[in-house]
Amino acid sequence: MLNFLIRRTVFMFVALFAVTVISFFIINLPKGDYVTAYIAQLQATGSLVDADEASNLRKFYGLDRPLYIQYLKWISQIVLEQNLGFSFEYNQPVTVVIAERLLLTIILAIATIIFIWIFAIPIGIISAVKQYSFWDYLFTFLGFIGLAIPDFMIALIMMYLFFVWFDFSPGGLFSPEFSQAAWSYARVMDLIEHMWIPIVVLGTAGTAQLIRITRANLLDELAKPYVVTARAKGLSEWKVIAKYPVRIALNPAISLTAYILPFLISGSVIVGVVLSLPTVGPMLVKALVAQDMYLAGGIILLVGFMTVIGTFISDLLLLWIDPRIRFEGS
Amino acid sequence: MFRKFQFGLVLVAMLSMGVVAMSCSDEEAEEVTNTTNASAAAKAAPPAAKAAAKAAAPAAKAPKVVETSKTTKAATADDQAAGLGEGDVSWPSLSDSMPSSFSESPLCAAQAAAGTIPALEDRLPDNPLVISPAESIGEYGGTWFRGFTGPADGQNMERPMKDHLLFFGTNMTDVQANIGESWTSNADATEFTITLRKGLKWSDGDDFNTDDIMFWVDNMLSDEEINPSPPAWAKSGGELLKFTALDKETIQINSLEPYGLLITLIASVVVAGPHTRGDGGDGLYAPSHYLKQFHPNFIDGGVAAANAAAEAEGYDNWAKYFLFKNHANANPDSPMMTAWKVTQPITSEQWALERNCFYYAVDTDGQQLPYMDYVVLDLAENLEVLNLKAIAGEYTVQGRHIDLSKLAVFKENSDKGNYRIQFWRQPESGIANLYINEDWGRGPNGSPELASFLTNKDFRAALSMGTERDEINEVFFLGLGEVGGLCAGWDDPNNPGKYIGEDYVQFNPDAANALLDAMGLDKRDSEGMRLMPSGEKIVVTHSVAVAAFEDYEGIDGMVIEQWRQNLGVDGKLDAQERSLWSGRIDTNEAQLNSWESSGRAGAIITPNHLGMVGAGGFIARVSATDHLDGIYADGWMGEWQRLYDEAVSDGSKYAPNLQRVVELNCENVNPITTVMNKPTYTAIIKKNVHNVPNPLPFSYHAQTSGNGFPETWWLEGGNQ
Repeated sequence: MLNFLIRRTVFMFVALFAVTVISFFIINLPKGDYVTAYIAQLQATGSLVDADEASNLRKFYGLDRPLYIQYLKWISQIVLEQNLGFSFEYNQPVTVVIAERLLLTIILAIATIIFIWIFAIPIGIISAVKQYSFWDYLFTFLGFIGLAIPDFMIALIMMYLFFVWFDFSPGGLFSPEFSQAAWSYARVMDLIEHMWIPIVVLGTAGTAQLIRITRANLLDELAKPYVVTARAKGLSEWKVIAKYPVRIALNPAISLTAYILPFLISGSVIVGVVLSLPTVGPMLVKALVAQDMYLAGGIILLVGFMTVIGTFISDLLLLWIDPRIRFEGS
Repeated sequence: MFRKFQFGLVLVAMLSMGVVAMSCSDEEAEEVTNTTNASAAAKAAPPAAKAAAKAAAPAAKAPKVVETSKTTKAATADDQAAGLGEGDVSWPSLSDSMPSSFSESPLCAAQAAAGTIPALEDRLPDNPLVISPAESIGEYGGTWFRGFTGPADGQNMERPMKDHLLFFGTNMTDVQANIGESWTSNADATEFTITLRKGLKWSDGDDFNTDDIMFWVDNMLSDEEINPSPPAWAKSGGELLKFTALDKETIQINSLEPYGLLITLIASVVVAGPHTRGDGGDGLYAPSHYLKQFHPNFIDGGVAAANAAAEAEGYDNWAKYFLFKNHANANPDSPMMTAWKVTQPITSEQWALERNCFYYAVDTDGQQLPYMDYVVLDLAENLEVLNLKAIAGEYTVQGRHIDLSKLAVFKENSDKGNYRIQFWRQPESGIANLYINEDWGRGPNGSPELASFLTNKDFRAALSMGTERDEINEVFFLGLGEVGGLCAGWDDPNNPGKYIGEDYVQFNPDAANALLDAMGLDKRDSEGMRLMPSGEKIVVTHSVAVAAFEDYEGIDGMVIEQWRQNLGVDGKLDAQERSLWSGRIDTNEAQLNSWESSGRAGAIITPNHLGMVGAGGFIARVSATDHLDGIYADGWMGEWQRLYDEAVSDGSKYAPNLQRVVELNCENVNPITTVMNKPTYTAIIKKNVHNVPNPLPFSYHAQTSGNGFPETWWLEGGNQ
């Protein structure tokens, strides 16, 4: 058991290290760097940059050194000073730039998971208990639609419908008057008011998935002899279902949560761009385009960190819930 | 059980790659690739403009470069005759008559009454800039709502709020007074003076005078940390210009070599002011009283203390910290000279500005400008959202980022959104010019036989006459472009009634084929494609960037098909990601590049499209580099380079040479233009907004909408 935990923790750090290497080098794959982009700007205005000047600029930004040195400098800053580096484009430290956006990203992801639970589990139970009923067919149909449509598509359709029906252009997580305000009760309420559209968009696929899984698991359980026995003993129907089969059927739901987490974050990149959300997603896309490498690297690292932590937590939960895994590990 | 964990890792890798891939194909990439603010605009402004002939024509008649004192210009009969737009021409102009009294907005009056700012007469300079609005004297109040796309979109407000010492009139060619009230130049254009208004104030109430210019010269321009590469405009004959403050209001500038273009450059985006250029350490002046606390020359402990202060804030060194502090868009503490001042930085979800109660301009009734109290820009993470908000009527005036291809939807919703649509065009700009690389034969894969045709003017003329421009215009630009040449509107003295190159832009396959037959391309293969004398098929390779402003891949594909069918000249499409594409220009491998050209009025100020000088690269990269070493090319390109040099040194030659160089492009059919003058901006304007000039000609160098004087725009009945 302890053995497993140690091994698992070591692998987590290896994974994080791999994430930093991959993200850093992928960011540097496209031709050119931030200075290339900057020179293109000078040229666009008719100014001329000769080779000397370009190399001065590279020196100014530390881009003249070999890639692995840049990487080592970056990673040592992160480990030693918790400093994610400097965003060229914002002209500010990366941590300053992404702080609030990261918070909103996490809030959105957690809210979406809660949304998925609230809708998927009861619906999954109803679908299983009332198998082949009208409601089962309806939710199955909706679930497949939810699974089949990409979330950015749902986002676009919702934006269009809201504009046509309600004359309201969604986008963003706050009303204008709150977007820059300090956190307050009113601002939280405003956030909740705006947040449900991205939550629905992001959560649809996960909800559909969880409905199917809950339904399938519960159906397996309901057919088992202990359920028949419980019924035969005269337990109320509610107790029969809720006390045992549902509990067991929920196990995958818990592990699925960690497995959904990376989906939510990766999905929120594209949905964030489409819905104009002040999350880290759109910022990541722009940073990559501008070759603002430390900003992009910082975001990918944090997203990777959340993913790795999420899977770690899910493994621990499984370990706790399911003795089979516990024993296999030792 | 590690499967799941591996899965997570793969997912992160996929996520990062996916986004990288996405970034390569995202159209918005264009804007951000060029990162800093000004560039974004240069690129964001795809070419175009109908207003044909037209705004550049008055330029030729009005050389204002070597001249003393204020110029004033309203729309002239000439401009009107040139048909710059639908309806009557209504342009703002500067007025020479000083109003007898001054008044201010209630917002400033309240602050003055509360004692937080001085009274109006102490805030205005002795001689305010008097602007006569395009239509009417306005009323104060309201908010200018706009959308922006993030910190790289600084040009969004840099354009409307020019803080240049001198600035252009609406026609984009006449240099006018602005912060500076007059200027002089000596006869050989080596000594210039600019006189500032007396009593100017920064937005924090501090005095603005030549100290702010000299601070910039001594501590920023000449500082290696801040300006490792001084801007090219600040050098003449290889040396930095010499700046001398004659008194608090007069600055003298000396250049080693004649530099008649300098005044025009100062008025343009090339020099601009600190709001546009401050984050790069340029901008000709800077708020010295504010910046001194961050500069090692002025703090105890020098560089070490400055670096320590910067590091405490998370910056690598003092220079980066200093430049951040001088970037008013991102740092609202930095004082400004513009009509509005930043109150919420561009790095937030809402970029907000508020009127600058110390602004130096008034209307002809003496009301201090601007009319609108606030500017509020909402962040749109993508252009679809921004356009949707525009369709919903959420913006007051917005041309930037508006997508012309959605025109039908904009028109359909204009009553519901209570807005009108106005096209801002860039006179004689190419949308997708075909630039033939005349230096290709000197490149790594140049073949002498094919190169001999590429450098042959008749060959290019034949290609041009074999192009069906109307078809391209309809298919790609909703028919909103034009099919004339770069020289439209300029009479050819040798061919009255026509302009130079007019014959070449007409579809005339017979004449084209006759030319091709005559130059030794008369043999054809079994598919009817022409063969070179050696027997090899002639194939012209089009080098295009994918996912750029326009669908160059599609346009060039159509051109290739037209040339095959009409002329029997075979072609090949070489589509590359943008940076790889521009890499091929640098290495001189591309034969034919498809790209825009900005309005011909900028041919000398920003020569990188039509010229073969400096950074000019499409027509002849190698010759442009040679020219830096003083070597002139042969033939027409050499003439272009000489005319350019002459215009830079001798201001009186600027206007005539500007026309002559473009004529050289037309005479020599390089670039081959396809569709011209698509509206650059499709401006969405609330119906109750007044004083937006009609028409508003567009250019990057004159920072449109800045040349429309947005400080005079006002809202009838407030925001609706």
